[in-house]
Amino acid sequence: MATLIFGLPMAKTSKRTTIKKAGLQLICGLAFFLLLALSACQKQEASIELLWKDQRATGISIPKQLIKNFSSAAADPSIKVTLANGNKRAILGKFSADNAALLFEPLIPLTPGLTYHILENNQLIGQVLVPFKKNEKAPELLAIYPLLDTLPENLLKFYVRFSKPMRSGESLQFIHLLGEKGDTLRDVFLNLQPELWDTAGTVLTLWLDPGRIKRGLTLNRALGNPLKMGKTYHLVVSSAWKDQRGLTLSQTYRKTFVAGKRDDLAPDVKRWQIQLPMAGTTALLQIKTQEPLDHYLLGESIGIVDQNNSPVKGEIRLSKKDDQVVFFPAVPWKSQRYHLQVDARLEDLAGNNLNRVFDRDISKSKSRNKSYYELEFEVKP
Amino acid sequence: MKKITLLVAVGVLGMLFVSSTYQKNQNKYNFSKGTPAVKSIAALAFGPDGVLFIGDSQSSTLFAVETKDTKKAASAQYDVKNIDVKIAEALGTTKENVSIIDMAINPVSKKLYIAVKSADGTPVLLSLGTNNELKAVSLTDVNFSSTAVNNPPDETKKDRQGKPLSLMSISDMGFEDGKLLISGLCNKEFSSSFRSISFPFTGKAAEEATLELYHANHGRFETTSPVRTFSTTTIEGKKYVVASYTCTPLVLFPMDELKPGAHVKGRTIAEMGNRNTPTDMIWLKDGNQTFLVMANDNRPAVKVSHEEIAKFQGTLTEKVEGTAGTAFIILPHEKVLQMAKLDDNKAVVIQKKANGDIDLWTSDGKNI
Repeated sequence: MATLIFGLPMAKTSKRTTIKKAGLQLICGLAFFLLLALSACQKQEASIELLWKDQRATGISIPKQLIKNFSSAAADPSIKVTLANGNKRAILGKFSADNAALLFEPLIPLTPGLTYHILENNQLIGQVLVPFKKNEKAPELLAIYPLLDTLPENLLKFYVRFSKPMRSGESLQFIHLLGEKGDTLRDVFLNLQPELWDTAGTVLTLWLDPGRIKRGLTLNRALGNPLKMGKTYHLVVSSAWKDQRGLTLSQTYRKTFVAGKRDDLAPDVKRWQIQLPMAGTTALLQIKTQEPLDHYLLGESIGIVDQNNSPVKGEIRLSKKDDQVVFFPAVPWKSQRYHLQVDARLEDLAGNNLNRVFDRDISKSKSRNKSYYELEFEVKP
Repeated sequence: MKKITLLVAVGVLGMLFVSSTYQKNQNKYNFSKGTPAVKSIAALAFGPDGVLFIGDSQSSTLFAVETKDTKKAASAQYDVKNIDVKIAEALGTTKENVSIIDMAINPVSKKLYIAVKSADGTPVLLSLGTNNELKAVSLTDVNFSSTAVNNPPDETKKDRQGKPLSLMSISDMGFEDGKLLISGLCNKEFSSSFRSISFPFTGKAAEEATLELYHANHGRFETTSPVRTFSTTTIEGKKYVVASYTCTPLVLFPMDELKPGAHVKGRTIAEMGNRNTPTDMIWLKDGNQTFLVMANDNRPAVKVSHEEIAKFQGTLTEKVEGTAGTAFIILPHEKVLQMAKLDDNKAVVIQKKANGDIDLWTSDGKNI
């Protein structure tokens, strides 16, 4: 049976290598160095190694010497990799061979903490344990939006932003809303599968159950809004939540806030205030939205066009409360009329967008169907 | 020698035939050969000739893949206890590291396809043969085509500050009348998105309609909620999308109104109870009746006859306590996580049992 040597992670590229402790001084001559390299090479051939890519064990290299029928091994079902739990079910994946070794690449990365067996004709020819990573930084929770500490009682959603992609599909096991006395409130969030993550897997959108927020629904009548005005709540994210590498959050996070009054009004661009810059300058344009708006939508819903309807290039930054937008133009302002354009899908914290309130009473309010709203302003010399 | 010549000739002819069939399909569906860059699998659905549609939320792309799985079969029988454990073992891990995302049955071969996600987010496509054995479905060097699911931004939205558009998470997918239908949720704004895309893909943007419904328990209020699962049906010669939402209203939308930019109001025909999310719906026959069977994550599965649906002419706009609308039958199967149509009478189901086991089984045609 082969000597068991654990694979170790290397940098970000996929490399087959054996880490050796070469406690030798560099003063050795070239001949000795070559000898050492040769010896390393021989030893490398004799060991089962893990292949690493992006900190994940993505394959197993099985040296030629361990395999009786190496020439046909890549296409030969006599070789299989199994879990070391007694179950001899072949793990799905593909085999390929080079001159020195047979390479097995499973469909998903190998799991840290598990041992894998390599069998030839159902006889164990080697095994390998996938180690847990050491010295890797635990994922952190970077922000919970809205950042405010008073939120409307009909708040629709939170965004939770992490430093690393988290395991998805299990967020509600680790996120809880606690009441004033620390009691966990049930049925507060909408259980969505698949969950709503951004492309990087680091920002989770967490909806409070719309069934409880919408007036008149059975759930709303039976349980009321998840949040009640004047009460204090704690949104807690447990440190037991793992990221995609299998590392748990660095700590338990807690956001404490008070529920404020209900927001039943659609955001009104006409009420926004613009602090005008001077023509010929690259002074910032400050826009006060009069109320906190959705953090992620606000940043991407706003644009400025000039009198020819051409977009004005620049950078947008938001205030901490998400109730102010600051626009830094890339080129100086001209003496002319501009239009601030705001995408109609922009929402406030209660899910009311520019076209309609979230929960529309059809006997009273009408929804509009515009794709964007405009506010004109003039830059003067 | 003659024999050899004949064999060679037959071989060449065979190759020409295979090659021409391959060319035909490639041209028919505008496929090209390669490896689709599938980043996630949110939904699966079958189209014609063994074409498998893969909805990829993460890259906001729809893929059509030629499976070459076109051998006809009448039916099949699947039965795998602890399917989550079996899948985990086949992938070399433990069950807490895998999630079953969706499944679809090829209507031609009756082979079952399962989309799985590993804890690190790697998407995996597996198939279950009639021998109940799990195999990998390779997406390397296949014939495929793809199209973007997001509408390209219009002039007013075009890359204003280089900010990304909202991501559409695909909640369900279906193929009907040469069109791929997709329901989805946005990761930012609260909206209901329902899109239809012609297949073969033309490269044009998805046609999107906004759906709005009266919530029956609601009375006065009206909202755009995200569709969780849907199917299609014909009532008096007219085609409809039957959609269901969290809190389980059943809503009909006329398909001819689902046009780009249209704002379509649905007719709520049933309320099936709250604190529940419908997971799948399919049409099955029982005797001379056709039923819409709906699986639920927190309630028993239910079925409604087509006759009842067609008969219910009204819309639930009055306040409703509990359940209302078309009569439905409660089935003795709770927590059906996945359901796919096997043949006219039967379905394959993945169910979470009371003891926590997750089993895959084939229905007997009576309850489901």
